[in-house]
Amino acid sequence: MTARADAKEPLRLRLVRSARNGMTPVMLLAGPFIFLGVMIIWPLIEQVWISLTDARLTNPSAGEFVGLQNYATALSGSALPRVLLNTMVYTVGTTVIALVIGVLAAVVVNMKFAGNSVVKAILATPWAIPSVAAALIWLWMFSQSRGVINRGLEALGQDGIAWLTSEPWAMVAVIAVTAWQAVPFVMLVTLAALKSVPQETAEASRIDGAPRLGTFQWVIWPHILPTVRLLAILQVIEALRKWDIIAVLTQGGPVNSTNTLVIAIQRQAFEYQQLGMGATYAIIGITIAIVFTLAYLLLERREEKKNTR
Amino acid sequence: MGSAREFPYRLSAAALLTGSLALLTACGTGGEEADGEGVTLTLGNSQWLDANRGEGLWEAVSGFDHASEHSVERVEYPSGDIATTLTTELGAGEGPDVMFIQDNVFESFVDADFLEPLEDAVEGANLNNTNEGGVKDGTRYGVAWQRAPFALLYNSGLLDEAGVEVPTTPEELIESADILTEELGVQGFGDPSPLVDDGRWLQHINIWTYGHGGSWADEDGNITVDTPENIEGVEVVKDLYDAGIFSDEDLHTNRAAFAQGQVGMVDEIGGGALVASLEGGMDPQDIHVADQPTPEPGYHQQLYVVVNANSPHVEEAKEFVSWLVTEEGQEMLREASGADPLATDVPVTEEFAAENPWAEGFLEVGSHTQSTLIPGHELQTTEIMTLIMDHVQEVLVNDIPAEEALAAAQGDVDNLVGSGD
Repeated sequence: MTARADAKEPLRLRLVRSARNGMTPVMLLAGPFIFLGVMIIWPLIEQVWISLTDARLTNPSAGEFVGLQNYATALSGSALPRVLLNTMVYTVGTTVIALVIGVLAAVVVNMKFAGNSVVKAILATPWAIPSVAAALIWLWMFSQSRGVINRGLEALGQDGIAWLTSEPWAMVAVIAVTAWQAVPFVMLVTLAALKSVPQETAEASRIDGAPRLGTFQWVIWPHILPTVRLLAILQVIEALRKWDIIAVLTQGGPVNSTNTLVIAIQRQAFEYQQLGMGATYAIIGITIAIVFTLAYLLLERREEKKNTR
Repeated sequence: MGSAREFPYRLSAAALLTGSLALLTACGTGGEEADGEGVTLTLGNSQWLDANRGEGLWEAVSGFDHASEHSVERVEYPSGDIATTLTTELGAGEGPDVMFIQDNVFESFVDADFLEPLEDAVEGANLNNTNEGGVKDGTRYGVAWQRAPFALLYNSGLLDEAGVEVPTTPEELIESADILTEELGVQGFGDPSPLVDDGRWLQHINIWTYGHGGSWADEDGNITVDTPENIEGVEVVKDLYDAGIFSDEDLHTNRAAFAQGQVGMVDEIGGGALVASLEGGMDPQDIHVADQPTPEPGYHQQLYVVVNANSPHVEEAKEFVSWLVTEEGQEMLREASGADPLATDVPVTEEFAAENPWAEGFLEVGSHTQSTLIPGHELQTTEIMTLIMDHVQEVLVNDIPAEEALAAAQGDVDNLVGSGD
């Protein structure tokens, strides 16, 4: 429509059209905002509020405001430092193992060899098994007296290990199972990144005489690094909120050696019915997850700036 | 594609359809009670899922269908989740009409005003002492469903074959368990290790601490964790653990193994004996029960029948409780419960006692075991026992002396109780 035609249009219609055009982005964003508000922001606000009360599970809305008392109790007690240390060991352990093995597996299955698809399907299987079912299978395998792992060790002339009831083996076991389940996800996402590496660049590097390792180090790795960084932050967040595998295998024991933040939250809120203290632990966990996410975003921004220079 | 003009008509049609459905639904719901017929009561229990005996228990309570104009419908909860699930359901004003819950859950439900008083429902019933804990501040909120005392269950066939006596001390228990394993290749003692089933051991430690005269608080509610009796009990657990006689399988696996004749002895409740008896893997005549190998008796689990105060059928639910404590209700429950002490002193039948020699033993043991609730701190029992068991695990895993560990536990519990009050 021309400017002259616009001028002839009644003022009311022009205002409606203008409002509609201005409202379109608002209306498009309203859905996600409402969803985020209802499903995330409001529960988070509620969570913060509950952490400032002495609410019990039997009557969550009847808690009385106690200020920062729950935080003071949690931070001054001996339980939280142990829980945070366990969480850190578990998170770092599962993330590093999953990333190293997952990326290596992706590099291997990205090569051309007979039976490649079958290998990929087999490697992806742990990811498809529900966590609780996987943990139950491993529970039997780790059994000290009847488990297949100890039977194997005994066949090799070694003593069996109390995998789930001794330190530090219990933590080793839960890290191993969690990483075992996470490896396929890392592998598949990395594989997708590897497929997007420009073949002509890799070939040019080889023609120029670069060894295979050099091609990987100088051409392929920089290309997949952003994906690996993203996978790292996803794995960290996943490990921070992982509950099912630990709950099935060790329930946080022995002697609290696998008692991570989520297990502690569940104990406080549902076993002790101290909803206020459970919410306090949860807020501490969310804060840690946010710190990691912000660190990742800052790192990404710095990399972007470096790349655009 | 429809025009914008069609939209209001479509909206009206949808509203009309929704309204009609809502009306039909309301008519359907109301009709059940409006015509004077009985209601359907929902009964929430984890035991409905129990292997072998769950169906029997359900059949017993289904007798209410015939004895009244109402009917019953079961609501099943996995045993590990029932406390949390019911708590959240009742907190939201929902939940089954009638529930069957453990004593520690009962305490928290009374505290939260979730339960309906039951005085009028049990008026005239011959309730025995298993019902004493169902009264809080002079008001009855619960009636005993079953009391489950722990005793030493053993397979007499295996013990005879191995040539061992029924143990009467912890030392003899270790010796007998070792001989059973060495001679017959079976698990001598099939009790899950404290490190395998730490949830169960929040109560199970009491076999050994109560068994040596210990308690966690005195009658006035003063915490008594680090007493010589409790220290002795924990030292015995350490001896058993170091001897390697505990099983690293969970309760249900051990129960099944006992029923298949693969375990010599186990700390069990009457329900476990009944499961073994019904399983068919061993001769019920080989199942026997003895006192725990400790100087004093141990503990029992206690289940109560309670009525949801938020139920739309409170009066009908109370009718169910009234029927349950009648002679008819108790006899039906007795048949399905094996030998667990019930709300009234209803004996096991001669036929059942003859077929199951362990039955009378559990009735006798149940008369002198103790509750696991800590006097004066009933609501905090789980939290207190978790703190204590954390320190007991230090004794088992890290060889911390029991005296030192329980002194530390005493400090932790004092802090908790102090902050909780």
